Amino acid sequence: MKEALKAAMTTSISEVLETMFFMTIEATEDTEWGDLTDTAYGEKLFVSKIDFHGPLSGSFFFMVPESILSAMTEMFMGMEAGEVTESHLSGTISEAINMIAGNTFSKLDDQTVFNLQIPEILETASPPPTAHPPGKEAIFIRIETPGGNLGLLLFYSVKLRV
Amino acid sequence: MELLGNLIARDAMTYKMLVVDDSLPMRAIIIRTIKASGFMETEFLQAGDGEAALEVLGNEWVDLVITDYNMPDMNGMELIQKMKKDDILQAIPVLVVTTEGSRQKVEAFIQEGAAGYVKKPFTPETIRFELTKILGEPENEGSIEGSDDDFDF
Repeated sequence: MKEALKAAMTTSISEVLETMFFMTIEATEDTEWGDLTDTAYGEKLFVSKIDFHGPLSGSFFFMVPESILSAMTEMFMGMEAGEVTESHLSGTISEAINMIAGNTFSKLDDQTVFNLQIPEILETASPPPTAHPPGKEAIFIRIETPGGNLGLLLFYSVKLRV
Repeated sequence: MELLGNLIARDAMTYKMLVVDDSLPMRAIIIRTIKASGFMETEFLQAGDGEAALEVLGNEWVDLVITDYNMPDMNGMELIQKMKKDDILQAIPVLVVTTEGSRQKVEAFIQEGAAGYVKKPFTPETIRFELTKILGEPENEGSIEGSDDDFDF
């Protein structure tokens, strides 16, 4: 399951970022995701989160530094740099994680329904945990772009059949 | 009566579409993609969820509703169900554009009366294919590559 999820996540990230944001990326799995704070990334870090339920349940976290998110937003919405507001940035990263999560699950198993919740923006003052939450599996994909690194983190557990 | 008046007054050469999505960036990209797909003369209305969409549809006739599924208050499936129960609105085709990719959900959309389905992420080609299937070729025969719209597809 974990290998299939990793493969689905990696393909999904590439498809979403290349198709919708015209970004050239290199996605690789990493065992450590480190410190998900503004300081660690050298600039303000936007983090969006989406929860899901179904045969698997858990959360995706998508981390994007502000400068890259600005460029993504300009491309996505057809805006000039000066026109982009914080609300546009939040909307863009929320939609990106929504597409990445939905696309991951349809690649993993299109016969099964996974219920995605509404994406939310996390304050980087309370970032995702730096270690596995108890009872959860974790997958971290580091996404290299010409403008810097992004990250996609997944915590999940498998629903036991009784 | 207002709806009928709008219908008669509408320029037959252009389309009017309602884009329903709780994400402003997604509404913007859908509109840009539709224009880049050759439907450049289209007039767009927007709504943030199903309830807001029904309000718009109470005052305006549109040729097509394009809706997301996962939205607060009223989702895309509920919107389709309400439209199909309405004597007037049931005639408006609905295209679902969503991240929901399970076969079960897609079949449910079609069963409820959706005219088509596009999965996010999408390309202009997939949007154009579905629009052409539902509405026919765009009047101006614009091509994706030949679009005057400032869009780098």
